[in-house]
Amino acid sequence: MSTEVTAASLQVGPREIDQWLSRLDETNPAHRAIALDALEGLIKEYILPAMDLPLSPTRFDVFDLDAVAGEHVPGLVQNLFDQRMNGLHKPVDEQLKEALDYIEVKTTSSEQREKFFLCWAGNKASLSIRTLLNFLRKPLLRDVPPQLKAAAPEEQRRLTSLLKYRLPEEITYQLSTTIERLEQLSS
Amino acid sequence: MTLKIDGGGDDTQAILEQQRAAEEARRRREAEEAARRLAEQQNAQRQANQRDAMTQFAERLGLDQNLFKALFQQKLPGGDLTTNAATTTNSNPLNIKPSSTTTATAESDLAQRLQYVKQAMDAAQKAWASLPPDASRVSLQLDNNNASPLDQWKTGARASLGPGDAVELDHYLDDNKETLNALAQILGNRPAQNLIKSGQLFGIDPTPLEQQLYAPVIAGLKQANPDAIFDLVAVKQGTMQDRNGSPLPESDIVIAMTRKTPNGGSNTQYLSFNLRALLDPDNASRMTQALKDSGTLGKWQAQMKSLTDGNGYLQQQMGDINDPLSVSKSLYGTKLAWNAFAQMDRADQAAFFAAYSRSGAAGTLGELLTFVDVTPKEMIVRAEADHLAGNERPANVNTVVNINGADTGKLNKFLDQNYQAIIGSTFTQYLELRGDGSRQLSGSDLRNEIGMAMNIPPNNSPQNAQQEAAFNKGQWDFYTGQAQEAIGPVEAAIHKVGGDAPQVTVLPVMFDSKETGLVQLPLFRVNGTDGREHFVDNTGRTYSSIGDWKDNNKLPAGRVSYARDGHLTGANGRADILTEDTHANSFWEHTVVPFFDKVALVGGVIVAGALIIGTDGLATPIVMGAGGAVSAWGAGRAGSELLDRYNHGQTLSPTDAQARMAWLGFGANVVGLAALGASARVASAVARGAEVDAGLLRLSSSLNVAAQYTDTAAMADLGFNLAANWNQLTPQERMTQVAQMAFWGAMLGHNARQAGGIGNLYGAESVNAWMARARQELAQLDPRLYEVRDVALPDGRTMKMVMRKDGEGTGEPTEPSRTGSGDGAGGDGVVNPSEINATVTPDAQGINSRVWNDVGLGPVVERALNRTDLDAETRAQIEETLSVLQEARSKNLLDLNTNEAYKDLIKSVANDTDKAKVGQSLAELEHAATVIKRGNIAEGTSVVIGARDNQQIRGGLPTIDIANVEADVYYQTSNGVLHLDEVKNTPNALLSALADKAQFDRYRTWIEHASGAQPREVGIYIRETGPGFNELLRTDYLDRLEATVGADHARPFLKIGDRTFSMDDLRAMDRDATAKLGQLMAQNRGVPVRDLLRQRFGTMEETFRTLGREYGTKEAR
Repeated sequence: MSTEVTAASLQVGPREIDQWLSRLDETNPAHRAIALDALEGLIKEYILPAMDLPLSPTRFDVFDLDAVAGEHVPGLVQNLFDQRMNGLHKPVDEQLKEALDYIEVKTTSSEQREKFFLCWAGNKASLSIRTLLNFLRKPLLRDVPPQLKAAAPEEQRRLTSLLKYRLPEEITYQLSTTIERLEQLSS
Repeated sequence: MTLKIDGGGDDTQAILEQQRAAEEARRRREAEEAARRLAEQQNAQRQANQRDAMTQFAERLGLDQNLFKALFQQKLPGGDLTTNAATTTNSNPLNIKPSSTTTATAESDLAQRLQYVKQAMDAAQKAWASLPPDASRVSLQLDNNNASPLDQWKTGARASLGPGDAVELDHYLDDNKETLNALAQILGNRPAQNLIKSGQLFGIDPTPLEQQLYAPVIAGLKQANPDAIFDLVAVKQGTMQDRNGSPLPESDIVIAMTRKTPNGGSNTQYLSFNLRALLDPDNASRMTQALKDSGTLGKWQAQMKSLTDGNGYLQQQMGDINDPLSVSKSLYGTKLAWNAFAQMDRADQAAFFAAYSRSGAAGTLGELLTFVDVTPKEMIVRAEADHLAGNERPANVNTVVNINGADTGKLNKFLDQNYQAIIGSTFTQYLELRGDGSRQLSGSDLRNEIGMAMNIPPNNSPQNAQQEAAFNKGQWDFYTGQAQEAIGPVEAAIHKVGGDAPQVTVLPVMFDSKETGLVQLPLFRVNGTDGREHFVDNTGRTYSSIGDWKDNNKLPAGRVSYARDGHLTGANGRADILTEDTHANSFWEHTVVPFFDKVALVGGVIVAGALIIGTDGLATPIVMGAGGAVSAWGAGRAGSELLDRYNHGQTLSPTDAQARMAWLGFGANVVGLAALGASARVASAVARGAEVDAGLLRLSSSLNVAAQYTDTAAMADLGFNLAANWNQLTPQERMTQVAQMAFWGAMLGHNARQAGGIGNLYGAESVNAWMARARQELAQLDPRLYEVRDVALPDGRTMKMVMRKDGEGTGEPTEPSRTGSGDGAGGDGVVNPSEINATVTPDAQGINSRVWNDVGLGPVVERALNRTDLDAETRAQIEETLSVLQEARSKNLLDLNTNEAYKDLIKSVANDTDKAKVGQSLAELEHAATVIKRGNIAEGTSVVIGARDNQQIRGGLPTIDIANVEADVYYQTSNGVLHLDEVKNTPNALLSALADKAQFDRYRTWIEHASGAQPREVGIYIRETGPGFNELLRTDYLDRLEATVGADHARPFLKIGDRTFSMDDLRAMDRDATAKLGQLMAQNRGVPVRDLLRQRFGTMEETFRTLGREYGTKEAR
């Protein structure tokens, strides 16, 4: 995987993001900027478009996949669906329908299937976002390298700018705690 | 070194090969030597650990260590308890239950173990309750034009078939339809027809005439046996022969005659109607004489005239139709004579048979009938037939269809569905009542232990004073004859590997196959004289390791469950069991070298299965067990005897001495005799065929066990009742009880050792000592629930029994009563039952509610302990939890000052009517108790329940420094780590709790705020394993957990039920489960995936079964 952030490079799942980050140095401002690019990209590509969907009443999901599917989609079944997807790359409707049929989620229209994918991808992206924010926050906890102090204002600005969007509670919380750390460095 | 080699290159090559071989041999020797040294070290370490355990345990009990060790080395039935106690000591700085005496901990341990056994047995019994019956009652409508009798039987039987194959059942009944149709025809009790007119008299088929004669025969039998009850039974067998030695038809209708016996029981005889004997010309003169003697000749002649009226040809051919002798010169004439007889009045027919029976064997109606053996398995349909003795024609007849005769696979399917619960109870009994420790045994002790392990009923009771003395001293062999022959090879094999006084552990093995049903077998682990562990199976084969046994045992193809690694380990009543196919399932052995060596199952007990497998005279057969009611106290051992009695028409009534012994061995024991009153009714009904084989045994035995295992003190009951009734018991009864106490009573025996020492394991004097202790324990365990009653047995004896105060089903236990009752019928060194009161203390339950008065919770705790609307398991958990917390208070390990959350939780446990709320509250308290029991709380700190960020935290812990973070249980361990644990009652509760969706992210922030000296960890405890376990198996959720609380992949951070999981564990399980679900979907096309999830992944245990392995690590609650 390239370290360059493109729309295509964002079409990967949380595990791939994790692997991708393992090649980056969290104390390197340039690498951190790449992570910020990915963070902004994921929010804009996958979270914001899903914000009109119902939010999940469960603790571990952001968006309510069950509501979109019209029935409960058990965890192991979602795992099987994951395997039929190519990261967050959106499949054509025919492929999507085949994958949904496989997991016995009945859909009546391509619009419903598109919503399902949007919801599913939004949940996946939220996991990646958490991973990215953990990456950004980790070196800020103690013994912060001086180069990060210098980069802190810009990072703070970029993250703060994301708060202008309507975002799920947990993402807002993670953004806020990271911004708080950056603020402490800047002050 | 240089060698001169003649022969050039080839020789060089040979030398090189020799060198390589020598080198390899050297390495092999070194490896073997290293293995030997390692085994020695391990053995030495084990012995050292055992010594340490003994020392620690003796210290805890305040006993003289030398004395304790001496006793231990002499013989310690409770050896495993010392190991267990040592484990407890190492991991738990507390005595779990507060007590004023040193034995309270052991009692607590015993109570807990008994509780586990009860829970396991309850679970097994619950599973067995769903076993479809082996027989189905069908009220046969005789004149139903819409459904033939065959269809009625099919429909009725299907309704009771459960998971069995209905098609197979139909085939089975269809295969026997001629016999069944004939049975229905006979039951109709219609007037006999003129077979000449219908053209059936002279046909080759004797059935029409035979059918006409069943009713007269029963009338004749009834006349001779007016108190008897009659059934007709359609049987399928190939063993019956007529008097000429010719096999009788494959299926037949036999008469079952059940008579009362003088002692109030009943006896059933089966009689086959022998038509050939009836048609024998020799009988003509007897018939003539009987007609004359009974005064019915004229009536017979009238019927003859009526039959042949208008048929001059026939009258001419038959000779003088007024003369039976003349008529009976030909076969046709004989038939005609009996056709005429069939049309006579029943009373006249009965009178005729009374005269006819004066010659020939008694009870055979002049040898028209033959006594036959009928096993329950051979029965197809049994029907009430009393009405045939008269002229009544009922509209309906009560019948029973024997489903077990058909190969429906019912039992195997049932076993598959309930496997864990069923086998689990056996392993739990062994784990908790006997443990993994070894017993040092020799002589009669060893032989008796082997016999008991092989489920052989003791059969050698002492017959005189000298033998009685040997019995009392524990120097008496409980087995003789064939039983001894079965024991001998095992004894020899154990001595061979273990020396003169081998250390032996009995391990249960559960085997099942379609052919055998579920069979329990013993496997003996022996500490070898070579310092290694060896295994000896029930046939006397020896194995060098558990792996050797697994690969080379002689079990037939099937499934086998055994203690993992050959050691009974586990916690909380759950043994670590490995289930797999026997090696005979391999292609080679299953198809190329097929064997079904019944000897491999000798010494086993069929826990569930319809057949008894004989061993062709090779020692003891494996025996029928008690089905779902398998009892810790030897249930099943007498099952074969009961079944044998049943098969041979002997009474099952407990008022019969022999039958009572069988029941006692069957799992009842003395205390269970009260329940036998109920069983007697069942047995009485059964004896005349209301039920068949395993079904009846299961039913009756269930009644016993249900009454017996009313709570955890049941085994203490045994000791008490044995003590109280010793003088009332026969030698055989005493021996049976002593054998069961010795085999299962390790824990009681251990405590008795403290009270006075035990000389010999299988000896009455030793058991008497146990009994004394058992009585005390009974009193201390739950004195509020018991009283002693004199119960009159039907045979005139009076038994003292400990019974629940609500034992008659009158309701819940009464208020605590310390006075008890009992009138003191001791003797023979047996402690007087009235002494039971002397041992009662205010802290008998281990919890003193008054301790909680200082925080205003005394009455609340009392209420919590006395809730009667909760199940037994929950009540036990409440008691255990409050007991630990009470002790923790006294050690300053539980903080009571930070907040009052603990009060709210205890109040909830005491008062909430919503069981879910009780569960959640109990989960939080229970987890706090578990944390305390782990024993590694940082010095100077205490556990805080319900901590929040806005509280001034006490207990030596820092304030929670992240806003809106709360911990159900907050504590610091001795390694400095601060722990914040979230507790939920169920997996679903963890997922759906939605007070704060960012809660786990806040946990992450809290972890990140740790200082170097005080690392922080978040843990999750989920009390129940379901519902919703499979919902946790979702990769996204694991990602989420990992990103928040699971930094260290190997750290166990999630506990569900009694298992802890690391992220690696969860990942592996998630991966395996996803793959398995995909496979199952492919294999079960058409089955909704959600059904597969529910069936195969519904709970943690089910998921483990589906995946074929267990994940995570066991930890006590």
